Amino acid sequence: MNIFLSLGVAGRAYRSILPLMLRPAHWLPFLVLAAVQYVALGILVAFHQPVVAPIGVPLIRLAGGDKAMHYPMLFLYLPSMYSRIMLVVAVLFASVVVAVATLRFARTLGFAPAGRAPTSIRRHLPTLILVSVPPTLAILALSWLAGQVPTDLILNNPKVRWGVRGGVLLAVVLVQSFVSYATAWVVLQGHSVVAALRDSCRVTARTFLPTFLVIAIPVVALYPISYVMQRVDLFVGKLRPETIAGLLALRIAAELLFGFLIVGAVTRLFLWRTESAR
Amino acid sequence: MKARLAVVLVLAGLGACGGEALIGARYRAEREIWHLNEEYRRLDIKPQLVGPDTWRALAVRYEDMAASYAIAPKTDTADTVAHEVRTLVARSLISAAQIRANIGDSLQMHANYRRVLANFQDIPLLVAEVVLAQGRIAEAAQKWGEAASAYSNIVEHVAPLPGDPGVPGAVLELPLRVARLRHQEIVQAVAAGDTTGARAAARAAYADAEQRYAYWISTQPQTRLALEAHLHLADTAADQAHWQVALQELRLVEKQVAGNKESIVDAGNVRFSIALVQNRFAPAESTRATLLSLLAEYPQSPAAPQALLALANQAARLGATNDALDYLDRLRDDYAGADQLNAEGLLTRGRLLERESRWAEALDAFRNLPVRHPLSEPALQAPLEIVAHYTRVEDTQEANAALARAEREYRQLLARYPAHPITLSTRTKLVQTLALQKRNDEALTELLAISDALQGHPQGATYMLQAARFAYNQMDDHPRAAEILARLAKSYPNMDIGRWAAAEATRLQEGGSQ
Repeated sequence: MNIFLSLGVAGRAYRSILPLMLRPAHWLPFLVLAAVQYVALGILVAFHQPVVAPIGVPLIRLAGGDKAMHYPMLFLYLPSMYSRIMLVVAVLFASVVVAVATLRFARTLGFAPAGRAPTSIRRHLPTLILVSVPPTLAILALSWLAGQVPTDLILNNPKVRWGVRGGVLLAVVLVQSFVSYATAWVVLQGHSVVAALRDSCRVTARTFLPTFLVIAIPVVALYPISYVMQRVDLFVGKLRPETIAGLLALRIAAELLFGFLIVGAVTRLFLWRTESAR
Repeated sequence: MKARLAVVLVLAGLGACGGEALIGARYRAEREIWHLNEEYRRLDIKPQLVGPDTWRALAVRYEDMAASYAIAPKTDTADTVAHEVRTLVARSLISAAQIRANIGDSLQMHANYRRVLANFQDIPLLVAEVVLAQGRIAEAAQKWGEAASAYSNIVEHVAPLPGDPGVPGAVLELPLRVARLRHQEIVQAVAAGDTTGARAAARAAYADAEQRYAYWISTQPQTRLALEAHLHLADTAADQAHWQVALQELRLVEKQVAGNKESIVDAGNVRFSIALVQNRFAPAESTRATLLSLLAEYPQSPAAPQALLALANQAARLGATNDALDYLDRLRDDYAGADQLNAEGLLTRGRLLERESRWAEALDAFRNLPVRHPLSEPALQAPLEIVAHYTRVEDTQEANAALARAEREYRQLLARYPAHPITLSTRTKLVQTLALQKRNDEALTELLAISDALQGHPQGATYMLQAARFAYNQMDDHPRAAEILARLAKSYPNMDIGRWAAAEATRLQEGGSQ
């Protein structure tokens, strides 16, 4: 599929989702996820408040260590602590939220699997959680690999620096592209973990460019915030450290919007591909 | 069984909550002091533009922060978090005291320092910081014995650590400072009529300083501490006129640092110190030889232009005008980047030429100073040098013209740079110019304007006192002097100088009414 045709397919996938943005019911899973993210961020930032401390202090100690419990060090460690917590949330909670949303999008787009939604999700819960583990591990591995590049080389050589950043970004988009249909396979077709991952890779391979574009456009749009998060030292040194928490809150809001678009567009592509295969 | 387990869990939870509450308190205290310090740094960028009320408000916030997070010391357990909170509280009180000192509120300053000394003995470094500050205050008030005792106390309790930004970094110089303060006490003892005790105390203090430096050298040889201790040992010896010992120590240091590019001590600077010591006791020729050797061996050292200026001054003293001018030429040509030294060099050149009756060239040098080295002290001094020349040759007309020109230049400079590090110096020179023109009222008004500009700062009190003295001595206007002293007392009620001014104003007013 050439680039223009792929862009057209990706564009049509997004366009078919736009009318659904006006239906509040479709936002519900994403709003619940955003609320969980805000609560997690709130616990981290307000860990020192007497009401939050019994949960906040152990959480900070676990995610960032004792040094993160000092001001303004908390804000230096905040993005990494938040990311670590989000990895757990992604596996245990976001996987379910995406499944619920996929089911809702599928029904609205004309695919109506038998049974009530909660029953269907509850039945597939272990599979949904397990299917989200490999991409999480892959992203962890990518971060570890990027961390292996010597710090001096990254600091002194802009080509290496931007090469590593670009490489990691590309790899993350590729990983997410190849597993993007796994949830749909589980929740709509009742696949097992291995079958869902295998078939997701297969669908992505056959619809590579549209899938890649559907995932890449939001990820690239979010990159400026991610980039700024890598320079937290500047915020602590030059601005108010609390700005970092504000940026993370902004990122959650952006992820809410882009999450809606990605899940909707991926569901649309999945239905198009499975229907055309049939 | 279940109920018991629940009770145990609740108790464990409550126990954990206690520790977590303290961690939360530490975080909040850190956040508050961080933002206060940021505010302090922001205001301190141009402190002259900040009013005393703003500073006072900041000091109050520091004091409030200390009151909010005050917790008693834990003597039974080594509670790190509690200790950290207490350190923040003590640090906050010290910052408040520093601000109070800057705005001349010595009562609150002393109160804050006393609180640290009374309640934070478990934090020795901060106690030492307070003692150091108290020593400096005593020194500024010329209470030499009190200052020496404070510094000795620090030396007894804190180990030196050169390069440290806190008290440990200041410890190394304290034994010598104590000895010098004890020596200063001899002057006070002269007034009392018995110097025997003071002389013995000074000798003991110098002996103690020598012992301490020798001890630090022997315990940590080949370290920065040892290197700097050698330098202080040289100063200690020089103070006591033990010139050979001083030279020996300096040569030892030079040997260690010569060729070592990473050393924090510059070999050229050490050689310059050797020349300064030689200048005190040896023939001029040996000093000259040392300075010339410095130029030959360490031409890149920051001491090299200083050596040229020193050579020029020495040649000028010995009457070798041409040699002096040659050195000044070399300073100008080879070290053009040394702006401050070149400004001093040009002033020296002008004075030298004036002394040699080469007035046209001297005048050229003086006139060039503000052009080549604007905003420097020598450039401010140059117009007054011209005035001094015409006064010396009794050319009243030219002297008056030079005074008018000097006044014009100072006023232009003030109009162009109303808030600059040299503004104060320029205004002081303007006062001098007005006084030389016998425009005493204007000079007094300017002095009072300077003190008003420094309102709330100890320096403002000094200028107001200067104005009172001017009214008393130059204008013979005792009521005006009393009025200024009363104003000084009102503006600085919490400073020693304010209390003294109140008594003096009353004395003058009573003298006037009698």
